[in-house]
Amino acid sequence: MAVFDISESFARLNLWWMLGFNDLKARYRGSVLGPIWITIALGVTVGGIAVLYSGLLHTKIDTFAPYIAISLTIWALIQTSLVEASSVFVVAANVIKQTALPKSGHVLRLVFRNLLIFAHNFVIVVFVMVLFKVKVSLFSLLAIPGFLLLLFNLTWMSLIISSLSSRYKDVPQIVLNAMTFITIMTPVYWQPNMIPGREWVLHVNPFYYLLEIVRKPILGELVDIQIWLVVLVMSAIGSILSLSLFAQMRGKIVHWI
Amino acid sequence: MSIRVSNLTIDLPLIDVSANSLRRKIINLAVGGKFMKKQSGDLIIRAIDNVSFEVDDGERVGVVGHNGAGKTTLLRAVAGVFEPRAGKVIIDGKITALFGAGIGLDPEATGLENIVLMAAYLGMHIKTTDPIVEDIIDFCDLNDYIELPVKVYSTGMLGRLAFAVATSFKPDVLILDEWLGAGDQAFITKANNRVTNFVNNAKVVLLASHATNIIEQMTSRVLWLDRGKVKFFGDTKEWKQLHDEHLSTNA
Repeated sequence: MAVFDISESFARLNLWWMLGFNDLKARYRGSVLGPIWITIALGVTVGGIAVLYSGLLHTKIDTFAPYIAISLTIWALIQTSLVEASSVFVVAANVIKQTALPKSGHVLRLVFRNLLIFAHNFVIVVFVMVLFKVKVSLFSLLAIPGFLLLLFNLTWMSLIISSLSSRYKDVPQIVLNAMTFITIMTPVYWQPNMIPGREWVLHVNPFYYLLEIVRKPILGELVDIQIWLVVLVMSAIGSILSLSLFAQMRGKIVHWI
Repeated sequence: MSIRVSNLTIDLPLIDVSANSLRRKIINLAVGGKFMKKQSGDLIIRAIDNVSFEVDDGERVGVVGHNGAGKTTLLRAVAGVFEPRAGKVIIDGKITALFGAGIGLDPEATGLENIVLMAAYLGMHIKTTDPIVEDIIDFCDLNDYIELPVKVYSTGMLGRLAFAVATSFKPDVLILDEWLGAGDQAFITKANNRVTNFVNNAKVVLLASHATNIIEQMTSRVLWLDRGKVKFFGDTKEWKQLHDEHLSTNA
């Protein structure tokens, strides 16, 4: 039944896409610049951090600025998806209590919405990369399968968080606090080679792999086979874990929200 | 087109606030589960208890009963919102359910945008320029209001919009829950005509209401629920008699 729910969701991809699009439209309704604000916000942050941190960390701005631009763009996608996942079913309560539409579709809507925001942010990445003449290579194409794997992992994580959150009202708080901690521990604002002797901090962090599998190829670097393997294993374990949890909770979600 | 419900049982879990918390779950794990189990709050309500009925081609069935008798729960189960604890619901045909006014309405969006949005929820992908949108606007009689955000609409106006959208795509099975109360008599007549039209095309309508006049006007048969069980299932006229007797004995 859980598998049926998910396949039904995929059969209605354009509904979830439209709803995700509408969410974004609703957020910026009445604003003059609209979703361009997303791009502006990231642009300002990247500019500030690039100037400040390249001084603080003694790195060159022409390598650090593109690095921070792509890091923040990917991290915004990860963080926002997972934090917002805790309210997916609660926000959609009205629809869930009135229709037989598959529940997992609401998770797709969340992923699509954040994908659209990612697209707005990516404008800054391209701009900064052109500005600092970052060399792209054929390896950069590997960013595409890497990105698809990242989306897949975010989807199963969101499915778990959204299901648990509808039952246990402490989960949204846990996710919020965990994401703050993970943001500090993951090389988003700093670079992996800055912690010699403490690499284990990276190796035990699943988000390190998810970040690197997209970030490295975009910057024209080769991704270690080890990173690919870890992400593939995470995808496999995550699908099984999320499916079995969703199978147990799916039918009851409507009563909990 | 038909609805077949056999031996349907629906349980609604009641979670008390303390049981909602993970803390309780963790304490339960720590003490081995036995001690706290009584306080874990996993109470259930048997909202629908072994209900069976069938609705065939071209029938309009009214669902009646006291508050809490299980009307909405039954309708939700038929619409596929609730999963049965036991028993079966088999629907032949495309089903559309209307619970209250406005599934998935975006209050900030205009009536027009909401038509497209609601249609999408019903599985229809339309544009604001499609002729069907014109039909919907005509039917719900909202005129210039259609260009305004729906947050300025009255409850009755929302109900009209939702009804117009839900019925415009000609579902085979239509489920209506307590929404006509907010409409004025002119709209009820209009809605009644549309529903009659539906039934003439061998479609099926299941309608829950407290309003005796709506049940009398719009349905041919009545399913009377009492505490989750079927108290009576038969002709609307027969039900009316029983209902009047019931009222006079209670008075």
